[in-house]
Amino acid sequence: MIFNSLAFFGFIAVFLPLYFGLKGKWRLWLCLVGSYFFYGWWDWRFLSLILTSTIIDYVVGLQLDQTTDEAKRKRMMITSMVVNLGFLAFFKYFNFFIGSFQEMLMGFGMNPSINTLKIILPVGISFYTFQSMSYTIDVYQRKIGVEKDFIRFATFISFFPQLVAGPIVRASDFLPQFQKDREFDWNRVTAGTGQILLGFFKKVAVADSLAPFVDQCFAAPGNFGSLHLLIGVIFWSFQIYCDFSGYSDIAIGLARVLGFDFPDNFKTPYFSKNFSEFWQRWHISLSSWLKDYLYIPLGGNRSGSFGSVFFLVIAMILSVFVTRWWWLIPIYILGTIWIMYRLKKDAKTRARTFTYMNNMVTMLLGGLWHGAGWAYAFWGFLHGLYLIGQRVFGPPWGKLLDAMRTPKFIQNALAIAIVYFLTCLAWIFFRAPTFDIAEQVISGIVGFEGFSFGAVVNQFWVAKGVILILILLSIEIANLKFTFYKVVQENPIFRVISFAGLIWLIAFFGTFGSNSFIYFQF
Amino acid sequence: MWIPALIVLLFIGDRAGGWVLEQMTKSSNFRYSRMYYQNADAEILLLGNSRGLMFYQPEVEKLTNKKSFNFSYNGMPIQMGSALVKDYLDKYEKPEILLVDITCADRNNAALIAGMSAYAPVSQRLQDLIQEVNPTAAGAAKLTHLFRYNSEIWQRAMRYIKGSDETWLNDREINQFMIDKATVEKPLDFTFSSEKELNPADLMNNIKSLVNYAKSKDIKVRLVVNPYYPPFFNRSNGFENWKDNVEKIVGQKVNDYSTALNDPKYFTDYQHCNKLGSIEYLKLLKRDGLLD
Repeated sequence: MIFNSLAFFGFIAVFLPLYFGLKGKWRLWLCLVGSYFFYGWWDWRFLSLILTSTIIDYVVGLQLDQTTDEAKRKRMMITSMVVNLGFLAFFKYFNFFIGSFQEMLMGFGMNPSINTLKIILPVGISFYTFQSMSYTIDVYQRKIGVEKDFIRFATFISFFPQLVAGPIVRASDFLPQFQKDREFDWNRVTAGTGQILLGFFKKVAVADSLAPFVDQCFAAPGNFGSLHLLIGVIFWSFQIYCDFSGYSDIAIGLARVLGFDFPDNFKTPYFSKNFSEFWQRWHISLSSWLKDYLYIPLGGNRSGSFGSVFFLVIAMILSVFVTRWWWLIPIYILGTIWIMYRLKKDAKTRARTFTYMNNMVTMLLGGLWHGAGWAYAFWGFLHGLYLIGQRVFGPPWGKLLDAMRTPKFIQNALAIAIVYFLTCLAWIFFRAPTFDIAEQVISGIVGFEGFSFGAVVNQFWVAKGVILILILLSIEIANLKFTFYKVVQENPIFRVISFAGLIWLIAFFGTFGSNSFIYFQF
Repeated sequence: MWIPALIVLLFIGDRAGGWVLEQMTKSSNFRYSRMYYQNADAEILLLGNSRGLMFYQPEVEKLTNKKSFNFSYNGMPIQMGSALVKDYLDKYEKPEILLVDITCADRNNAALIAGMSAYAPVSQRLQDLIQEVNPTAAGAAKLTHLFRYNSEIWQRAMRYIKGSDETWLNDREINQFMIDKATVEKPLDFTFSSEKELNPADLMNNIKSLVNYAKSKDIKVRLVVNPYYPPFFNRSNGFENWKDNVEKIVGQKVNDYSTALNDPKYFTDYQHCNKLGSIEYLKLLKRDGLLD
């Protein structure tokens, strides 16, 4: 079931009165049954996957709590990881692994015939798997206590507002909120409704209105001129932002109506002045997850680990043989020599080098989390490169601008523009179905040929897209100063005007047809 | 307290906004605005989807010395065309000729029909059609007037708020990239597979109903198939069978010009002629007496 469908409105119309009418255990049961119904609406067969993950992590949690034998605890934790990552590996990455292996063998001159399987990707598997895993790791590390109530635990894993596209909520944040009944609170309902409306505006009006133009550009870039493609890429950057942050807003708003607090998932990311900041503003729940459960265990910005070296070597070998971009080999060799040279230097240089390596591994795996394809890995690679580049070139660049006495606001504007430009460049690989198409889009833009839009309908899409992006940006700029839902909660006049304004905008600009959310496929 | 205030504001804003947009629609020079709100008297009526825009009006009028009115619109299905032509025939003096490119009867397009909400308040036929193909959109258009104008059709009306739409045509030459791909592109399919959400009986009956309605008003009806880019069209599936069906059900000959033009310079893409091609095609229609 998706939020922008009539089925969801029917579901929520039944769910909400029941939710506030019930108390205690009954309410928990309602949340659980409602969440399973919400997920099963898409394909009930995959409920068994969530249930299996839930049972295993619940049992592992209890076992971890009951024993002090560290070896046994470790075995239990590994069991949970194997099952969770096993599901993810099979349903999401099986064909990718097989295909890459096949491509690699072909790179060696062999011609293997290995069959792939027709596997349906369960919606939201990456989200609930990460949420479930974080619970087990936290219990293992004794950061949180074990949850002994199975219904409460199962509701935490499957809670419908954020089940299929996040935000990924930590057990330490979310489970305690189930301890007592959330009372009906008008203030929360109004604040939550405001955020839901904002989410619908982003998704239904902005993202879905930009989609046709973007689809057209990435379907056959050879048919379009430079300006057309450039606008297509800019529109895509806003489409994916509005699609995903719109979902997060609806999920967070819905949770707020129900009495729960979820952390923010997006904070005006396109106003970031560097890439570290970007990742603290974009899909915050994933980037903080990757930081806590991957980057820091790899050594963070202090040391390296066997894991980061191993993964980098594998990634280098695979990328060469799968893409057959042989020119990568000398670059990798030079990179390896550079790394080895730096590792022999002082502790500070070593720590910095490990930071670069860990950044790269985290971003590569973050890219692969989004989708089973080399394009996603390349997107992650670019972001890894940006983070490293920022650490290497950021300080001298800042000094240069200071030396030139560049005013601070120009420095900031320049930084925002550079980050946005490089982010868009990476988005091209994220969106293009193949590297070939991505290359066509880029060469089409830099070719500086063709500045017309062809069919008149393209002009409508551009005009509508520009108007919507300007409205969005004004909301975003306002959001830099104050938090929308808080003002909605506190100021009734602003509430009435903003609610009415958003509903008018949705009615006049919305694209209605139950278009799915992009992040569902992740 | 704030909820009643919100409802009142929503209602007032929606109706006020709707009224402003309606005034803009009325004053547009777009074809349906002229037809429903202004004057669109003509002796030759032209109907089709985007391929119907090949009936390039300045050339039609030059060749015939008669005033024309083109109903064609990108992706227009025959149900919508039929409703529009019937509305026209009820409102205006009888024209001489109705020229229909029947390839607008090869698919449905519920989204486009819903987009006619901007004109539905003045057309019972359009209201009924929208209600039939997209009851949710019909309901939403009654609930909120702003929603009536949330469509490409209304944007098109705004495009022609000043200039005339009678020269509307994609006038560029097919590029080499498309020429090279013509023989590998997915072929056209006239076999009405269920995946295209087609109901062939409905579509055929709509042409039949339109033709009969026009004939009952003593109007000469000409059915044609406008040109396609031959290397692309020659690979289409089921065209002959489909054309025969139209002739059998409607009881009238279909004049087939699907491969009448060959030179790539006449085309803007696989399914549309550019201005040069349209003029060439209209000369063929004139030669064959279909504009007389």
